[in-house]
Amino acid sequence: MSYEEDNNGGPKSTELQLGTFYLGGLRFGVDILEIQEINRQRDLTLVPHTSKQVRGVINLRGEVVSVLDLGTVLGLGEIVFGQQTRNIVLHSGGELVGVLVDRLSDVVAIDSRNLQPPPANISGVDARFMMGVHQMDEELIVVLKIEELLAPPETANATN
Amino acid sequence: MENDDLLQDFVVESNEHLEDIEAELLTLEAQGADLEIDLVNKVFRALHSIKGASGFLGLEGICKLSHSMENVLNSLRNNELVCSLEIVDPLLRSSDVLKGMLSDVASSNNVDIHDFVTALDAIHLGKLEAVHEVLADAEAADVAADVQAKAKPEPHKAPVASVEPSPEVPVKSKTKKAAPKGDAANTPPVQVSAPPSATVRVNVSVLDHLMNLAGELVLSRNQLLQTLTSDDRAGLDLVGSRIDQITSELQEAIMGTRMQPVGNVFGKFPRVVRDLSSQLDKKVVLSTKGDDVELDKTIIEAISDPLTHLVRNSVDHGVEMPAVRAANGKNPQGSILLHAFHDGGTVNITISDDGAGIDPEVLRQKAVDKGLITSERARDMSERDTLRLIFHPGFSTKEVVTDISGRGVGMDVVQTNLERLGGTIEIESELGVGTTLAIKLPLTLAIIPALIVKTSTDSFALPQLNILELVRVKEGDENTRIERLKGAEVLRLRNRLLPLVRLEQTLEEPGNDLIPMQKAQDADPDADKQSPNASEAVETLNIIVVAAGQMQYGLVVADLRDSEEIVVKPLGKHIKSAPCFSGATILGDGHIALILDVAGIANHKGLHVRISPEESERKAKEDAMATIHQDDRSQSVILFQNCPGEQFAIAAHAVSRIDRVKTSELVQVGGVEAVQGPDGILPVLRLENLIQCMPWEAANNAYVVVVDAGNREVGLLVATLIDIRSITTKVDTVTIRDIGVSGSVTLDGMETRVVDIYELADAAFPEWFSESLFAAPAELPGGMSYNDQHAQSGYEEYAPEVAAQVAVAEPPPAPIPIAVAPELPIPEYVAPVAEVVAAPPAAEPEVAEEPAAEAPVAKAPKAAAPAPAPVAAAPVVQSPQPPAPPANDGPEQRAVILVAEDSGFFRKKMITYLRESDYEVVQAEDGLIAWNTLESGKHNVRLVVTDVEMPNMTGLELAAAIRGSQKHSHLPVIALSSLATDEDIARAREVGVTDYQVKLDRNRLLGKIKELWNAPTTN
Repeated sequence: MSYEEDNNGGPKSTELQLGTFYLGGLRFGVDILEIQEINRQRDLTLVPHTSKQVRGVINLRGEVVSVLDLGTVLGLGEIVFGQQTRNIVLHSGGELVGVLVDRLSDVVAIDSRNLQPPPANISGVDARFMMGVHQMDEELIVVLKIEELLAPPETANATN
Repeated sequence: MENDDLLQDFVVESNEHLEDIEAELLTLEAQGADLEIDLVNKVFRALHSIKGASGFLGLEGICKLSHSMENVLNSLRNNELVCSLEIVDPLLRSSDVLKGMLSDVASSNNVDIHDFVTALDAIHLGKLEAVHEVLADAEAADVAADVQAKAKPEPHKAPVASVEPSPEVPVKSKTKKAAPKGDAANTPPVQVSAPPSATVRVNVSVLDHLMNLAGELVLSRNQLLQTLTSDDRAGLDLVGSRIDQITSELQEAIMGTRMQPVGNVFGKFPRVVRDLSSQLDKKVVLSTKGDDVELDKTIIEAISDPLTHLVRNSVDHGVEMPAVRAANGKNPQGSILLHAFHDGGTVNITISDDGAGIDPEVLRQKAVDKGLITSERARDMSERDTLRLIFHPGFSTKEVVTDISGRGVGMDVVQTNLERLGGTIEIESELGVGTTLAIKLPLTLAIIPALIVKTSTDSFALPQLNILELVRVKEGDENTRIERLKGAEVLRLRNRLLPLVRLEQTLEEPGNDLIPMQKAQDADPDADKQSPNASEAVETLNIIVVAAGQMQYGLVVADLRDSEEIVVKPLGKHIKSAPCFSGATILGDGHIALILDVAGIANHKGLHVRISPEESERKAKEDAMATIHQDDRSQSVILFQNCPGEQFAIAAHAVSRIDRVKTSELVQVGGVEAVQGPDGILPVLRLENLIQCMPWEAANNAYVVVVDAGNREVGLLVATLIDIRSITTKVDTVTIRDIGVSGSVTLDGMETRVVDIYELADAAFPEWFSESLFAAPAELPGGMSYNDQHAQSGYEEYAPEVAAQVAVAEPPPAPIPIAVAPELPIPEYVAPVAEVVAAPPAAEPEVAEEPAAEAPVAKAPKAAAPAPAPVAAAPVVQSPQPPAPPANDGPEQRAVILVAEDSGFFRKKMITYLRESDYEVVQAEDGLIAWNTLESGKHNVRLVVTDVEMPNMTGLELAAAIRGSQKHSHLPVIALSSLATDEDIARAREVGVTDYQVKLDRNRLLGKIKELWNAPTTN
């Protein structure tokens, strides 16, 4: 995968900072550089006739940002709003997309060379969404591929 | 290529040069041998600077090609070559290739330009014949060199065309996202990839202005923060208005930076027209006007394709072959004009050609053949509607699909694309003269006016552009207004059936794998408050009649909010696929409202313009209801009430519009009640002042039914509008007959009086219809009331009876006397009208009417001549052509129509349009005069049009007399009445009336007259 090559092959730093969060009992991480902000905005405007992944749109300081249910995207079930539910706003192909997660966790710095290739399937999460997994203490952090995660449904199917 | 910036600058600059070069080359070609040396120099210099810079940057290919081009130009400059098609063509093609190379400079050195260089060098050396050979080889490359190829995804057909984002090119991928990595790279290029020229040049002074405004804004913010902390209420207002002003200025200034002259698009069309016309062997010259009109950049970019299509259409379908043109006496060279201009808040672009025009008959036939419309419908279609058929999906009039215009892109796509931009397109065409397409575009797309509508839970924005009208169906009315056809709801609106779409249900329906419309559990607290509204929505329906392209339907929403200017925000990639929305906006309260896509909703609901079997069934039903055109005996009327229990009807065709007014807006002007209309003062009549009925119940709001009565408008004050109906039932014209009331009818168990607005106007303002003043108002200052006017002019000259009527125009205490008519002044009916007119104008005041009779005719648009001076012996036979037939007794007299009508108004009106249709007319004020005129034999009467109700001799008596006489029994007689019942018609037929028509249905009457006029008279 190109991303790994960039980080493994070149003389660049191999440190990868992950913003991590919990979703359906699993811990996930995304490259922190892709995160625009994290908020708890819940005033979602529903958009009918979109795929199940889309929970609605929010007004992010004058910009209309789509919000996805990461649980639905990953096949872990729809997120139920709770006290700890957060909206992580990510950069994606020139636009911003928010994803809902169950609970936030820490920022973790890892060495991308230590990233292990993803198993075919972790608790139903499709391997194509994963860049790799990182073993941290007792816990496994699934590092997600943002482009794949946030590709609109049709494109995601096409590349499959 | 270390220096990317330098390279970027070179590309931008060279592209600009090339654009100029193209236009200049075309000019040179047109100039031929007679070259303007300055122009040649200009092209030369442009090429020279491309050559120089490319050489410096190591772009050998570009350098070489531009060098060869430069050589040719040099020869031209030194008069070693004569400019011709053979020379310009390779130059143009080479400049295309240069453009292709510039769009991908990195690989420009790999482009095979050998053929072009050889060809150009051959020209330079004067070997023209060699050029053709070489260029024939180059043909293949040439196709690929087409700059339009950008859009095509096939990448490596020819090296030149590799324009699509390729990862190796560092120049374009400014954002790191432009070259997606890994698997994603296989996905088709998304729109996200920025076009290469995503820069705008902005005047420094504009930037300075922006900077100033930004400074102002910062200051205002500081002020605002200060005021907020000090809790200074008055200061807050001040800051508020300041920020308001700066925001507007800022908005304007920033919009200004996005504005580009429309000439940028126009610039490419001379070439398009040139290439296309030579391909078709046509001669077409394109001229442009208003190149400097500015439009938003996004619009400029988006109209390029539709405009190209239209221009190509004009060349391909519009302009005829030179031989055909010459045969029709036209200049063999056709011309197309592109004209941009501002009009109101919009920019208009017209594309007009002087070609063959569009034959509506052909269109109709085509549409019927294709099953787009039924033949009945085709027959009833107006010319304008017929022309609009070309915007119908799947409609192309050209028999053979050419590679020029028939590329599967129909006018419907053009229309849809323009509408997507918030624009509209109209077509006008005159057979043999040409076709004009008029496009209206907004100045910008970013901010549009929209109506905010609500479902029970959410707000949505509906662009005003799509809205035709708003209809509110009250509780209890659903049954009469809304019907179900094959399970679909339709709204009955003025004899049309509109499909209804309920917004809320539509949005709740699942789409693909979609979520139902329901609030998230943390829905905004308002949701609960609004649920009562939901139940109310069942009772009263708010229907927005919307249009998208050829499609119209009614959108049912729960509630209507304000109309607002909204800022359009794009939707993210996950939502783009949602069919019903075109974008989103943020409302004043910070909430998001999605912008409804009217066409998208129609698509989603499966509404189609194409008339399906069930729709034709619907049409049939519709036609049955709208029998008005099929059936003489029915009439469309507007029902209204002024107070409960008393219902009136007014013929719909008489009404030009209905205004809603506040009672407080009613004013007294010179004793006449009036409202301020758009074109000045509109006098308003109150029914109770004119006929016997209950007074209007004062309320805050009322309607004014506006009628065009004899070249002027008059309004009728109405409290409540009930419905529009087609009356097919019997109208009783005997029991209740009054001035201004032509009869009565029972509708929904309610006695309804049918109001004759013309008679009412006649009664209220008799001077309008009496000839002597008929022409006067136009010359009077606009503000002057009608009463003032006849106080000054001719009032005293009126017969006392008429003067009495004038008084009635002021708020009268009682219903007016019955015996009123403008013809009263005419004392006796013995003399044929011709003799009445023959009397010198000054002799008697009554007679003074006639000379002016021409005036309204002269005012009518088609009447050519000013009123001929009334000569003592002038015949009444007045032709619209200035030279009235001098001999009025000769046997070869022109055939005339004899019009017998007692109401001055109707007579006037009828004569005006008969003359406009080039008939000669003799008028008579009643049946007896008409009869005398006939008997006198002074006129060659070919047709008699008569009113039924007339003093002295009724129309039916007249008809009977005509049938009874030997001399005239062959004459066709058309009887006219305000309302025709079965009995009336039967009675009329009995006495020998040829045809029976409803008054003032001008088109039908003219049609009938034409039919009878040309029919051989049966003796």
